Formats: sequence, structure tokens, C-alpha cells
Amino acid sequence: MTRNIKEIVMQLPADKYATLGAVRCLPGLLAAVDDDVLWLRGIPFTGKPDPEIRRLPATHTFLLDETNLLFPTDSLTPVATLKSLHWKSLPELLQIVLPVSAMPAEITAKYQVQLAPAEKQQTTHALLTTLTAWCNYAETAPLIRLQPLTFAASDKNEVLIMGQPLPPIPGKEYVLQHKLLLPAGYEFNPAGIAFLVAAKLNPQQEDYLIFDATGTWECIPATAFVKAGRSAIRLTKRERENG
Amino acid sequence: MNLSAFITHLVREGQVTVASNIHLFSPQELQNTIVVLQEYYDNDIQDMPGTAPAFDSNAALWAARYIYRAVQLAMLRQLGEEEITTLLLPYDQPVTAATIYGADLCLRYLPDLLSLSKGLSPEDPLVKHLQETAKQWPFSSTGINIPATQGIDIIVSNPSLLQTYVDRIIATRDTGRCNVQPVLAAVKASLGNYAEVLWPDFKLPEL
Repeated sequence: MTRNIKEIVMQLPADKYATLGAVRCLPGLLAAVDDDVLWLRGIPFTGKPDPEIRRLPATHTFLLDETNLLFPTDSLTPVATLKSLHWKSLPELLQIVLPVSAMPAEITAKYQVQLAPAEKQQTTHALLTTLTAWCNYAETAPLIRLQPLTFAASDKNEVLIMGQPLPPIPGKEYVLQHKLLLPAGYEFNPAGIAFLVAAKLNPQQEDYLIFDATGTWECIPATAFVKAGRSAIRLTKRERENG
Repeated sequence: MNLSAFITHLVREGQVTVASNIHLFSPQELQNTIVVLQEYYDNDIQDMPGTAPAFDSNAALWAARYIYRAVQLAMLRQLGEEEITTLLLPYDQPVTAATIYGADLCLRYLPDLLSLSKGLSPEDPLVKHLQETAKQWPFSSTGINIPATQGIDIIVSNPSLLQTYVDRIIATRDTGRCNVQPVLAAVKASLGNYAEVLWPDFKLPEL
């Protein structure tokens, strides 16, 4: 009698079920459970077995012929017939379950906003100056130079002017990025985090945050700005003078 | 609607109604109008550059009456050239910076009135009369393509009037009014280095 081997069959302890995970993606493998024995079949007889299959904790390995006779690998005599079992493909048998995420650790270290000298020349959008300088300019300034501007005055008689072109008066100029006003000549370090800083510090994007070179900032409500005009500027000065 | 109410509505709402008949203004009506004009002046100077000229009640009242009558004549088309000459009397006092600014409180609506009169024939006596007045009061008539015939020297000599005149020229893109050297210089100074942004198609006139 000649053997007509078609595949290899392995027996594994049923409690080693999880080890099949390593060969789950190999094609053609089928598995079935019979009491405390886990059967694995579909392993090609020809060619070199996959290393992952060789690493499986098999208790017995058989060669299976076309009549379902099981031969020990080192014997020409069959020792049993393969039972009719409920075979399943490994992907069907071994369902994937996503691991439960552990609670992520909280990052306790806070990022300190830092500014560094800018590498490129930037267009300025705002000017911080004194109320006196602003009033003196507006007294005789052309209307067309005032119309594109808005301004907000502080109790300290400082004025933040926004718009373009800015008036030619002394003061500190600022660059506008995502409603953040950075001193001209500076940018965030690292560069490109303006939108992150804005999202954290000014999520509603309603107000303006004005930074100094040290990275500290002050919030200026958008409602504090009024349209620049000679009467508005004169009235502001009068109100400040009268307390 | 009497004259003082007419001025109040004109300034606050930009809409006016006039009496359907020509009546003489009573002394009380004129006095009330001066009070309204004085309040209007006090508000308006807040937007004037530098120190605005003083309030000239005579010029302000004359311009108020002039505009009122002009609106009446535009509405009451049965009135002819004789009534136009009788009702739209020219200003007969010496003209100063205060006169120009006082009259401007109401004459600044002259371009709007001329615009409303576009439906009339260009040869209409009222239109020709209004255009002649616009020439004589250049401070109040920018942007309607009418050349100035007088008063420019007074405007130029008053810094507040000059800057306001230049503001109006720029706002209405009235290149024709830049044909006087001091005015042109003031326009260029106002635009500064931003002429291409503030008045993109501005071309220097040949003087």
C-alpha cells in the first residue's frame, strides 16, 4: 500500500488556542476543537513549512492522506482516521478584539509660550502708541488715512491702533496672526504654533491677545475697538482727561 | 415743514419735505433755524481737522434758505426763471473762511440736489443756476465735475478748510479740482507713499 499524502495535521492542547494567532494570516489553515485537543490542518505537505507553524506547541504531528488516514511523520503505518469535525478557518475561529485602551497619562508639564527673533520681514497690522501722539496725528491727518483704522484706548493712556496703512507716529508695531498680536520682529518659538496658541488661549477668536517679547500677553476685547475718526479720537481724549 | 425742521431732517435723516407753496420765512422761524444750525456746527467741527473756522450765522442761514428754496423749485415745476432768480439769491456779503464753512453746512447737499435734478433738462434754468452756485462754492461741490471759479485762495489759506477740501477731493476722486498747485500738493501729501493703495488710478494733472 502506498501513501498519497495531501497535507500535514497537528494536534495541540486546547489551552494553547491563542498560539494560533501567530499563523492566523497563513492561507488554507483550518482548525477544530475535539474535547481537550485542538486540531490544525491544511498545512502544505510539499515545501518547507512556515517557521511560525514549526514554532507551534504541537503534541503530535501527522501526515494525512486522501482517505483521511493519519500517519505519524516517521511511520508508514496509519494510527487513526481523522474525525469529522467542525472545521473553521483561523480568521473565523480567532476573532480580533481591539485591546482596551489604558487611561492615557496626563501631561503635567506646561508649555511656556516663547518668542524668538523672526527670520523674515513681516507686515505689521497694529501700533501701540500714546493717546497724545494719536490725538496730535489725528488733528490734522487726512481723513483717508484714518478711515481704514480702528483703535482701542486704555486707562493708562495707551492706544492700540489696527489697520493698514498704519499712521506714521512713534510706537511699537505688531504683527497679527490668528488674532494674536506679536511684537514686530518676533515670532513664536517654535514657529508655526500660532494657531495652537490661539486655540488654547483664545478659542472663541473674538478678542485680541497682545504679546510682549517675553511671551506674556494681555487680552483686548474686540468691543474695545472703535472706528477711527477725528471726533471719536477727540472724544476719547476728552473722556480720559475728565477721568 | 418749516425751515428749522427742514434742516434738522436734512442733517439727521437725509430726507426732507417742503411746503407746496412759497411763503416768507418768519423772523421766529429764521431765529429757530440759526439755533439748529449752531448745534449742527458744534457737532460738525468735531470732525474738522485742526481748528475749524468760526460759526458764520449769516452764511449758514443764507445757505439753509437757498437749499430749502432750491428743493421747492425742483418740486414745484410750475415756477419759472423769474421765481428762480427771486428766490435763489446769491450771497452778497464778503466771503471768508468762516463764510465758506458756515454756508457749507447746508451747501454740502448741493451735489445731491444736482444729482436729483438730473431728470431735468441740462438747459433747465434751475439746473444751470445750481451749477453756477456750485462753481462759486467749490468747497461744497466736489465730485460733480464742475470747475471752481472762486474761493479757492480762501480755502487754501485756511489749513482746516484745505485739508477738508482735499479729503473730499480724494473721497470723490475729483481729479479736476487738483488743477491748483497748493491743492495738488496737499492731495499728494495726504496720499503720501500710499497713493497706489488709497487712490489707485490717481494721475497727476498737467499744471
